[in-house]
Amino acid sequence: MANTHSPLFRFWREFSENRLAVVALLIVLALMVLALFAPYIVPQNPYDLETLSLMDARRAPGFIGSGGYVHFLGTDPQGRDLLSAIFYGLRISIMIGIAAGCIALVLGTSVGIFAAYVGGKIENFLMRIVDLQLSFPAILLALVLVALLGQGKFQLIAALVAAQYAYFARTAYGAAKGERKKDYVEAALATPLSGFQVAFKHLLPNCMPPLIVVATVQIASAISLEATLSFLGLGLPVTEPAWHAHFKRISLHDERSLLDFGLSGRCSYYFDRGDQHCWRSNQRPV
Amino acid sequence: MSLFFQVDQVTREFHPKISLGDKIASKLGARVETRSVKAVNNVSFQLEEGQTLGLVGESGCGKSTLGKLAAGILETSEGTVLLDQKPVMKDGKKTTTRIQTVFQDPFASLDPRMKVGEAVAEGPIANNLVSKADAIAYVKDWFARVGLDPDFTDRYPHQFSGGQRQRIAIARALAMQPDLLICDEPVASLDVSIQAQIINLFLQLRKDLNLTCLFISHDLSVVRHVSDRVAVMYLGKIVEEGETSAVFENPAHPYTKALLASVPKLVLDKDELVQFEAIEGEIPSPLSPPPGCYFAPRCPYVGEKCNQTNPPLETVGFERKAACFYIPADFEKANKQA
Repeated sequence: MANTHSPLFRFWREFSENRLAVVALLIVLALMVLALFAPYIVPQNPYDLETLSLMDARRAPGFIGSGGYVHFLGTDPQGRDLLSAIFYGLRISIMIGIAAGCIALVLGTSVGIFAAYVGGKIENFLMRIVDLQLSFPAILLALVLVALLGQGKFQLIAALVAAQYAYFARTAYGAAKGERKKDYVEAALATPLSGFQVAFKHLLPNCMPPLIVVATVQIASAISLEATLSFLGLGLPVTEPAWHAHFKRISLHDERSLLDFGLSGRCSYYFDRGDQHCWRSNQRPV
Repeated sequence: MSLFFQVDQVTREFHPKISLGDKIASKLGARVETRSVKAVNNVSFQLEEGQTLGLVGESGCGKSTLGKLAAGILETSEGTVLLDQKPVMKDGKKTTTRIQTVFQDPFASLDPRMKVGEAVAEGPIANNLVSKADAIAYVKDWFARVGLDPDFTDRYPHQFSGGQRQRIAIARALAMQPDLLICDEPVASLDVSIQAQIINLFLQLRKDLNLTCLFISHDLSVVRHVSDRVAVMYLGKIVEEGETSAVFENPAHPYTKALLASVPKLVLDKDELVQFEAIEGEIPSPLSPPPGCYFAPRCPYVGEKCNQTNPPLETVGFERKAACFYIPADFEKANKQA
């Protein structure tokens, strides 16, 4: 038997042939670990007011503050350690980016495959809505939705999903439309199998390769989009609204986002790099 | 004998898809094709249980469409397809599992991302022919019966050759325990040596399972080998039907005659270069078929009547039907002798 190794092992063997992909994967994993264990790595929780001291405000990098530890990147006007703020920001960016990307993937794929499967008027109706949405820039759509829905994690995710599902729907639709005409779908329908079964057991797996590529790009761009919204002041509220009101002049939020923006830009770049390789090796059936 | 399977005056039309853009263009004076094609035109035939009907014809004559109509894959525009007096399709959905199809291209008819064992098990499980727990044994049993190693069930289609894939496709169809098997050019895309294997497998299984078959092929020798009866199709119509040996030895319709004459033969008379008798002219466009008999423009026996009216399919001998006004004289002679 040729299949002495598990599929995972064979996947890894092919994946590891590309050095760049391995490096990219390591960076993504490192960022994930940093995000996951941020509370144990960084000295300060920037959301915890008790640990902040105004005495430490606006200090240069390398300053040893009242907490007794080095502020490697300095502090902001409220005395928050910027390094800690970046790591905590990373948590939110990654979480929202992945959550929004995954929900958009599921929603968009369902819409696309359903439209391609049923055809006719429903197909036209659904896909014209998607086309209409694709004609707006995602950032504009997200801005409008956040403005309408208000701030908050779920609102933000909803806005990102609404802005991004159309890409998945288009891709899934295109792939499924092509697969729909093939003999094996006809054979499955002639068995007969239910439409649901044909759509999810036959169409979906065969539409996966292009969807994986789009997913890598879209999850990365969801992270960027979240950071952009934060930068524009429409992201998550830093903590309680009252807190916001109390320190009206705080601009930490924006600074966090600015740095975060740069960082997540990198992050999304590596996401693409690693995952595009996944897609390439995925083309050869494992 | 009661009617087991009946195709009753079935017509299938294909309409060109006219988009909004085309509609506007035609309003503005552009010429947009709006004529429809009758791929299958008022066709009737019957099958008795255990019988095999071979369906032959040139490519594009509507054999595959007729096969799909019979299999309940396509809906008829007019007419009905009945299995045991019950319609095969209702509201665009196939109503029976007793008809199964083997498709032409085994490279396209198997899902590339599904393990072949799953592909075979899927239908029987979904239609409650076998429980999930028994499915593995059931599939292995079918693999063995079509001459495949039962350990192959965990593989993907790309790991098999064309002949093996066609065996899998046959196993998939037969695992549904059909009474009627429709084979749409099952060997056309295989090597000749593999063709023989698959045909033999088919004959064996047909005998073991007492299957009724509709065997579609453009290969006359294959059809002659496997069928009890043959129907010859030309441009969406059946032009001749009858017992296999009778049709092949003594064709009634000029088209059948021409078709048989155009088959290259292995035995040559002398060392001379042999010219095959190709049928003259092209098959007419199904968009604008000739007014009378569809074969008239190419027919050597054409008479006046042929260009005006379409001859109906009429009984011309013992269990023989042909659609021709001027059945060639040598057929009559041979028919009388028989």
